[in-house]
Amino acid sequence: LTPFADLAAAPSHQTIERIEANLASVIRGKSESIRLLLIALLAGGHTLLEDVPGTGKTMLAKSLARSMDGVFRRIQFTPDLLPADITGSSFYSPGDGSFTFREGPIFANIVLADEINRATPKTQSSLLECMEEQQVTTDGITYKLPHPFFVIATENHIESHGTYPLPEAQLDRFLLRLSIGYPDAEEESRILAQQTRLKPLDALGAVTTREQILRLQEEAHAVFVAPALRDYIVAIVGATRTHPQAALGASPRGSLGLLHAAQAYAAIAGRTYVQPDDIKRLAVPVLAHRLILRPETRVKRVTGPAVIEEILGRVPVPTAL
Amino acid sequence: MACRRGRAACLRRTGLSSRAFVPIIGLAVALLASYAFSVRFQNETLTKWTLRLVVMSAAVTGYLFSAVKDENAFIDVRYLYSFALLAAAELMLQFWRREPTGGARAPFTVFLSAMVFLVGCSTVEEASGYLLYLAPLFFLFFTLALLGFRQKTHGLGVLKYAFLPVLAALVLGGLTRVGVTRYKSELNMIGSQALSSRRLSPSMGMSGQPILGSSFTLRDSLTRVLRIEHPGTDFYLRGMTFDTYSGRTWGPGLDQRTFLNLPHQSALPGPKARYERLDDSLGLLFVPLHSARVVPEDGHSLEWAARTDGPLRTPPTDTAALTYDITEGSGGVLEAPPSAEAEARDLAVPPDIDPRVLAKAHEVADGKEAPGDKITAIVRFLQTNNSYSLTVDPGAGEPISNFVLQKKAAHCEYFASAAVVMLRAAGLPTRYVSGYFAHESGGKDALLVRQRDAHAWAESWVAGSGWVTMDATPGGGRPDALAGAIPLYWQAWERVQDILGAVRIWVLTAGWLQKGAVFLGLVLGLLIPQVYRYFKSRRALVVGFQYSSPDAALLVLSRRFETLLARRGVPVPETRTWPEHLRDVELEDGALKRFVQDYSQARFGPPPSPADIKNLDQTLHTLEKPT
Repeated sequence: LTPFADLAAAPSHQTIERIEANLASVIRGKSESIRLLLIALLAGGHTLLEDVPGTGKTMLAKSLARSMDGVFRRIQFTPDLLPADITGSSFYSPGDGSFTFREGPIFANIVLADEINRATPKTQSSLLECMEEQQVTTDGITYKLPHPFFVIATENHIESHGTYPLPEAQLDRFLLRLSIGYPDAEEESRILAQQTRLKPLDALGAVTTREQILRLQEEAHAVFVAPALRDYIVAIVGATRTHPQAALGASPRGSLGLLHAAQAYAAIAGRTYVQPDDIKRLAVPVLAHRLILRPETRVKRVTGPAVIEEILGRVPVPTAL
Repeated sequence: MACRRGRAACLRRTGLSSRAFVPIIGLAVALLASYAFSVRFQNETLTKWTLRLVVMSAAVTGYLFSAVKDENAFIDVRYLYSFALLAAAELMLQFWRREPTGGARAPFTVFLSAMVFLVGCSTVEEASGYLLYLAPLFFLFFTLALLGFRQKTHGLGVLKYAFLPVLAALVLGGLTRVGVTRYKSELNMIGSQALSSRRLSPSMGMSGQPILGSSFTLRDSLTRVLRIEHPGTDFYLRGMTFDTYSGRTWGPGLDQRTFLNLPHQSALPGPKARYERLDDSLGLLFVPLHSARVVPEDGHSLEWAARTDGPLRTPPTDTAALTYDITEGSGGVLEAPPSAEAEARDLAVPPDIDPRVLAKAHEVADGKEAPGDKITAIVRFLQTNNSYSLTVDPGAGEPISNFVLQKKAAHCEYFASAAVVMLRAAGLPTRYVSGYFAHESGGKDALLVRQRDAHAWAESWVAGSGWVTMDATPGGGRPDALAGAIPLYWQAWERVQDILGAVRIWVLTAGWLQKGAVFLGLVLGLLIPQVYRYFKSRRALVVGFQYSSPDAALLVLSRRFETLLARRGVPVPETRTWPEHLRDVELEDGALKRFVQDYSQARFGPPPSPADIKNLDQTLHTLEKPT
């Protein structure tokens, strides 16, 4: 992965830098993951974290919520979790004989859906619906979810007994898939030294506001994308659909996702236009999880990221075309 | 066998003339050179590697066909050996190649090369020395390749990861070495049978002259000699007959006989047994005693040594393959009554024999008038007097006398010799016969004869009855009683041999056009899937449309910049972005970087103003100036 371009000075960029610094003080040595997470947030998408337990997923989500003074909720997905446990439900109040709606944990700015693959497909799809529509409908009444609304779902692929793996088609609803991974030895010992006594999360304060995040999102959406780069995205996504090792390529939702993510990336970098580098940098996290590979590739150990990398190595860049 | 007589002598012995080295060295150089260029396959698949092997072998065998005088050789083992050395060189190189070009196929590659090498070496006696010390090495490589040794090892990690595999490989290698040493002759046999008609060691196969006291080595050999379809009732297949005995040896030897042409006889009507010779046992035809007609196929003529009533053979050729039909019945040349001279020879008791043996014969046959009774009595005597054993210590002195008088345990040659001597003493003209005893089923209505079925017996002339076959060996010593089951791996190997044999016959008989067509077919068969996959993957990645074009002025600028980079020796690949490329080639010069940044903004940002383009033009102009 190519490192991020130098960040030019811009007012919105300073906000981003502050959030990054805030998060980096809690999640050490994972600046790449933090940046990708922010890209997803600014692009208005959701993130799927594939990781083993204990790598700091909850910590990351909590610190992000705290950094922007938002509401954080965590939903631990279990097989007996019901859709109403996520969305909330109406209760009868004997006093006035009416039904009142009690909001579920989904009514938050940052929602951590932990081990999403442990819940039944029905519950999973109710979450995915909320993610897509940003609203909850019960008993015919629609409740808007707060803004910004950002879901971080986690999956653990090591311990897969008794799980309901998300269908590949559903994975498409996540803008990015990333994994935090273990810290290296040096960072890990620094974490131990730092957290012997205190929890860094407790000391974490807000560095921005929810309104600021919404403004940043708008800024990201306003980033200019040259027609040639739209073509470039279409060419890359198109190549996933005809790739010999892919049974199913990425959908137009994938193209849109890549576009929005590239815009958010450019915004973070303080640019007002998207560069081909932004698209190349984000193609793997945005597209890899959307591919369904042919069964025989499993034997050859071909992975989604490898296929995307191969495509990037073949599709010409429109710089001089 | 190691060559200790210097390089030149060694070359002469292996048959590698200096001429042969030209293509071999050429190939080796080409092979090495190919590593320097991108024409080499980038990732090693089994198909690609096989293809390369085919091409290499075509080059080597192409040379062979022009250089080898012997038309019957399918592949000359000596060249195969050179080819094997090339394969070994390839193997070494393959093994040490880095990821990803060595790739996940490395174990296959190593295994395939090793197999080629082992087969190549096992066919040449001079090369089996290499085999002994290279076989462990191959095991080492193979094990390491299987364990993905290289991927896991960096720096000190090598020691940790290498220790166990190296130990395991050394143990395996050691075992292989022991195994190869122990089964060297079998390995040589497999190699020679599969790949060449040449007899590499004269010790294999039936002996041309039985010598009592020398070890009997055929008993363990599973080599197939004959396949008989529609066999008759006589399972004793005569090879040679002997009538004189002196100094432990039955004579005359094969090389002392005079062969005469036997006039061509047409086959008789009626049931015929078809004999297919699979292994060249002295070039002889093995036939039952009561064979009315022996007719070789394909117009081969027959020869026979008349003075000793056989054997039958075709004029010497280099090939073992021969098919002949036999009509069972009386009146054949083998059953002809002995001439007066021959009868005298068949009655002569060898002077070396201890007189007590003759006295014993008289004693046993005493009172028996009918020749049949005499025969029965003597056979019974031998069967009760002696027991069967494959290992025999003949002791000092004359072995037949020792055998009878000391009641030794011995094998069929002794029983047959003793029977001959004692029957002669009892007044019956008798000769010693060596051949095979057929017993193993070779499929429906067919028999299979192997070297281990070699046997010896006696034939006596009985007036009125003709020649009588007489087996004095106890029942437990006959090949059918001793033959163990054929191991499964051997059966599988024989199936492979049959296929190779069929291919060999095809190669020898097919025309060049046919051979060329099949070779082309094979190459295409290997190539077409590759080509198809290549085009499929190409097609999949072609962008189906033109990118939206930039401003013409920008396009000119971009061409100029790319030319500039190409002139500096770092042309931009079309799939890399400029910033990526500058990082790749570590050319992060400030002016270049600034131009790239400004150009990007003009190209991908909102449409540039004419002033922007002019600025870009000027920056580029300064960059283009030679420094």
